[in-house]
Amino acid sequence: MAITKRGALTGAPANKNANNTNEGTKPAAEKKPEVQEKKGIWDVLSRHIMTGISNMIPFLIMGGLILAFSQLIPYVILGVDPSMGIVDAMNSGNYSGFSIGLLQFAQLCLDFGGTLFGFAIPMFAAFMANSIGGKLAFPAGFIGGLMATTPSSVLNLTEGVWTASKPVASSFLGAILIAIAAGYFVKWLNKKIQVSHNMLAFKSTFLIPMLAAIGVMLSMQFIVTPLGGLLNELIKSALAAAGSVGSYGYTVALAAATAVDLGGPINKAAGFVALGFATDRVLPITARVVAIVVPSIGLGLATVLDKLIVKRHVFDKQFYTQGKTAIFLAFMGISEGAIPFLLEMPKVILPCYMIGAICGAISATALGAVQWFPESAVWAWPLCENILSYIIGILIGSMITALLVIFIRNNMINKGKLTVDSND
Amino acid sequence: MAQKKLVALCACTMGLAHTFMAAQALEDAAKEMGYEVKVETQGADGIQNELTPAEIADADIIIHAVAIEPQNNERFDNYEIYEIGLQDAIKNASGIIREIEEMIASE
Repeated sequence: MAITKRGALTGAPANKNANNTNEGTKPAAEKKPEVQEKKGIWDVLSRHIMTGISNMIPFLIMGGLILAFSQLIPYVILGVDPSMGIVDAMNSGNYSGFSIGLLQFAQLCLDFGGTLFGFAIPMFAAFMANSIGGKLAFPAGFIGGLMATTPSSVLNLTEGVWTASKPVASSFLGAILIAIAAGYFVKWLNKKIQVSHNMLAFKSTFLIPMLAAIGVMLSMQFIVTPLGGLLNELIKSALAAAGSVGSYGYTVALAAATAVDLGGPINKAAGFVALGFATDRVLPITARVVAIVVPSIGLGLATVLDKLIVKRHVFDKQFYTQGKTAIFLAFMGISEGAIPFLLEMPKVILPCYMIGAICGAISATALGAVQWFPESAVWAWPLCENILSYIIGILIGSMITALLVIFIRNNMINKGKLTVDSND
Repeated sequence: MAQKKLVALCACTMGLAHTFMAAQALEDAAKEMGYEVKVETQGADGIQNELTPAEIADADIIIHAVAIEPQNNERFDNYEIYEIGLQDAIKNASGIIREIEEMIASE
């Protein structure tokens, strides 16, 4: 088990744990060598990235909910042709009265939700920079993130005329780079610029903000945007070259990594990569959003179906309520409901989760489901292209997980390797 | 002897499940081992059960079970913190508390 000890950061060691009388306390510097004090750079960075993601998620949820209304109202409730925009539908003459009102509302949702959603990446960068460099890094990260999604114009001289054109956005990739740069730049400035007490206001209200803003502006314009834009283009063309083989490989890998630890670090790392691809519209996030819900729904189904299929309960009593909770949580887009089942018997249950998730993701993708929207909750399903294939994919995956779990557990009970505490 | 005190802070990325599972596990395990315990959670519902500076100062063991940079982290600057993974807290809270006790005892 990894325990990292962090010593007192400021003040003399003597003033810590003032009333700690039952253990002899030595200064933090004399710790035993096996106590790991320094964390690897990746650990530190991933902590900051997670902090950014954690604060970005509310934006995705709020924006996503409003965007879902804007899609549900015209295309599901009113039956507008999917290739038609909302305003075109209003002009088509097929709608009047209350329907027109609904369409107006849908258009409002589309604009508002889109704006809200667009703030997800700037917020990610802002909170990540804040996590690294404190309060002054927050605005630097924010504006860096905003420039990563909507880059400033580049001026070009063509045939004697200066024209402004928008470069390719560096997007999520650029947001990470600039958040790291802005965060550490502000941290470094804070440490290096030592001023007397009465100059402190000058330092924190003028000097650091100005240097940070100029730093972000120049590095975005001349380094991050060109580099990030180029990388995004490269990844896109590489994937286009790899064709369908590449996209299925990605589907399998993403589904497996998502299911492997249900919301743990591998899952989050996979999500991070997938989110980058999806926000940049390089690769859809379908595999991940399917794989998030499949294990929980599968296990929930297993608790419902076991009596029908093998004519006995294969779980302990308390798992039957947990199974229903897991299904409910899955519809909310949360995979953690399946964890209790995993903890009880990890070596058996985990492969069932992964196989189900992979099969579900492949079925959904093969049937043509495409989801760009990084949210697996049930209200995001209508945002998917080809929602029927999406649901079929989830059902296939869940059924596979459910059946595998039921048969394996039943088999183990028959062989006497497993006893369950149920009412049979 | 006065009852030993343990405080902990739990925060995971989403703030929905792991935070509270870890908090529950740590609380149960610490109670079992005879600690007076308080666990702060920083989940999607904000900071709950917030630790006061006095409680942090009084604690014999301070545990952070976090996957993100916690809010108001400067409260802990003057104290020794034991940082653990949320998964470890959920799976084996009493084992990890015992290991921390050993680390303290061996200093």
